[in-house]
Amino acid sequence: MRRPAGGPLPGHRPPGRPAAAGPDGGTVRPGSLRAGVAAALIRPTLRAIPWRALAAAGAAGLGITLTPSLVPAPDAELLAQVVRGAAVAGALGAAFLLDDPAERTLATAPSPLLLRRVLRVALVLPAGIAWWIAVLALASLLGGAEAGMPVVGLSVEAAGLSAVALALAAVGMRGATETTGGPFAAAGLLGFLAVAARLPVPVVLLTQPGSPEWNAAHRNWLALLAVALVTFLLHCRDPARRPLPRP
Amino acid sequence: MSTDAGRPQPAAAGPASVLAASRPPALRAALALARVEGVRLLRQPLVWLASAVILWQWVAEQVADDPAGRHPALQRADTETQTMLLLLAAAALVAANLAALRAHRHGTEDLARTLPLPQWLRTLGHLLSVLPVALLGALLAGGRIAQLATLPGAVGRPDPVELATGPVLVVLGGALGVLLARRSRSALAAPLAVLLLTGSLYVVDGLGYSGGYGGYAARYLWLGLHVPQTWSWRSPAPADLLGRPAGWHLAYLAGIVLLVAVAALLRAGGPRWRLRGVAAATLAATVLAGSAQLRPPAGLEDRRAAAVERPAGLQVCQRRGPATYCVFPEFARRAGDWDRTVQAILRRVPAGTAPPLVVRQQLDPAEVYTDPGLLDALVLTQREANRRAGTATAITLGTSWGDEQELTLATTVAFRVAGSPARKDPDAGGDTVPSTEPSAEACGAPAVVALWLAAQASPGTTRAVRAAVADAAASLQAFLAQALPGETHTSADVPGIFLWTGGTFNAPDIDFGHHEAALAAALLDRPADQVGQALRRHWRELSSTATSSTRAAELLAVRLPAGDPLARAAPRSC
Repeated sequence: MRRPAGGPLPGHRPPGRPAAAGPDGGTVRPGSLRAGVAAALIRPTLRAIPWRALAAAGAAGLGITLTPSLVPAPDAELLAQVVRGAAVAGALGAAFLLDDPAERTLATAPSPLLLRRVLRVALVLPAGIAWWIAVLALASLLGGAEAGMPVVGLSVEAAGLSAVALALAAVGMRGATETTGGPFAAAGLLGFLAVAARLPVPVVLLTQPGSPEWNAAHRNWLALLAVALVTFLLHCRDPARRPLPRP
Repeated sequence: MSTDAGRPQPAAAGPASVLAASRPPALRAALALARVEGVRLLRQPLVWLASAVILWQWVAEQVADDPAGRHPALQRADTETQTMLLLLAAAALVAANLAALRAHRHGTEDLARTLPLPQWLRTLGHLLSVLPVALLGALLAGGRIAQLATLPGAVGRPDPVELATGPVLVVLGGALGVLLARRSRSALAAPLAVLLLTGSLYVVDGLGYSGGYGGYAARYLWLGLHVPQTWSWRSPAPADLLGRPAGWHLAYLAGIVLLVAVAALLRAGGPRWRLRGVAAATLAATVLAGSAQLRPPAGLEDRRAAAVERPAGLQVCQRRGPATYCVFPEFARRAGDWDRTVQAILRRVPAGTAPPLVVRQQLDPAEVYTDPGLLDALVLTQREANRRAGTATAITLGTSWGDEQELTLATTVAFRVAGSPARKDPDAGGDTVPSTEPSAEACGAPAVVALWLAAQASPGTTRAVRAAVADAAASLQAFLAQALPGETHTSADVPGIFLWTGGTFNAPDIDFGHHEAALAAALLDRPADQVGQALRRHWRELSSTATSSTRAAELLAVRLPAGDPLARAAPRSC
């Protein structure tokens, strides 16, 4: 998003001025205003979320989870790979979560970018978690009792992948005048996976269940999750908040 | 990204091309578009990344400690270039899809409609733009095989058709990306397609590996896009046993590429009847090629059975000193690799004391491991065939050459050279892989000598023996630490150090006792020439099973460090 040549943006608040003024002229606490804005944003945001892309990704993930039914006796390794495939599908959907054709128009809205994005993620999160539980349940159902599945480790991987996708989407949206976040993030996620699958021991990410490097890999996933979340937040700072250039 | 919209399209070269919209100038414009888009595809970060990952893996394999990467079989490496280029094909799929959707993403589709080039010719331009990426793939595959062919350890000959298949897969990826762009405007379609195709390859791979000894099930894998090794995937086999219908498969793939391209052009509003005609002809050719590849080559199963069960008739033997090496003709260079390891052992023992050694190449198609009955029958057949060929005591070795095979050869040869010092009544068992051969329990002074001889043969075997001894020490310590107070455990309760090392299925395990292994490891710390001299001086006594390993320690002047848990283990006498 590029700023106009001069003057503050409509959302820009010069320092030293009261935070906000209520309709009756009295001062309103910023916190309650923020909550009010967030509440008012819920319905339009729900409408603006690209549900079709998310549904397509979710359906592909569930489809991948069904593959063990083709194999007579799926082992833990196969199940882990299948669940990972579903997690990648989910993350590909998440890559498109921030896409909004109205992004350019909304850039001038007073509600901060961070609030709009966090609200978007928060609204999708319950559905995402429900979908993930369905994937895990389906996989363990098809795998049978004896093929154990490291649920926590795989969930950490899925969270890490989705966070990477969101961070890439936020990076892709920055400085763009179009809704290019999704394509950038999806392509970036595939590139990330091509490298991640081959990373050697100290920075290893993808290991088989039962491997001695499993714990180290999941510490790396947690670190990656943190880095991705910080990147996401940093790239969701409203451009209007940046200091103005000196004339 | 936003700057492309303003860039002049090569198609809009001038008013002349506006007038001749669908005549040859339009085709020229499509070619010009293909050139521009091709360069843009080559500059796509995903294409760079895929190429970088491919190169990185090749370099990593070459600089690894395991000599397997430096001893390739080219009739197998050619197929492996296809597997690597799948990554580039995936990158081409996503990149071509993004390129074909660029106008939609930037909202310039209406603008493009005012240009003289109709949408189907622009789609043709996008389809042709994949060719430079395929050329990049061909360069990668060709460079790889050329580099492997110059290695001194390379054997066999690559198949140009197999090498050409990888780049065709890249074109297919790009064409699929363009087709998806014409079917769906969502940029999600291409990454999801990559994910699903990867998943299907994973499934197909699994099916190929469990394809059965006859490989009939594996035949149907050829209807897929990428076909991994369907027979003898553990180790390379002579080219005429592979039975890969590479030519038909290439024609089949080319047909699919054409069908995908025609579907994209039809979707983009190309000349309907002409394209349908092309599609019908292509479909017929594809079905023909697709069914031709399913027919197994004549006599393939007989040739395979002969090569697995009675390899002697197909192999050539080279005699070098007391050793004879029998290999399939394509693997003639392997005899030299083997001989280096064998000579490293023989030069440490007095001349003329080594028994005659025959080392024979043995195919081990993994399919036999799934059926223990088949395996046992096969071992008996092979033994009989070996006896008839006059090499009843042949040491068998797989067709790969890496750390594992080197250790197997060194251990087995050293064990024979030291007089095969095995205990008389070893318990059958301890095998990790079905085998009718019971494991041999090496004992006495010759066990120390054998393990040291094997370990000093090469840096790889030294590393492997040291690692095995360190592992055994750690597990012995853990075992003894578990003992309850007052309870006495002896090391005899723990199995010794197995050096079954991934040779072929009919190679017996050799089990070295803890005490003997610790002595051999201690000898490795001393200069090899010094130990070698002492060994030659006392050879008669050291190679006798009547000599204990404690006596061997005295003769070789080696003492175990006091803290070594293996030092407490009892010596194993014959």
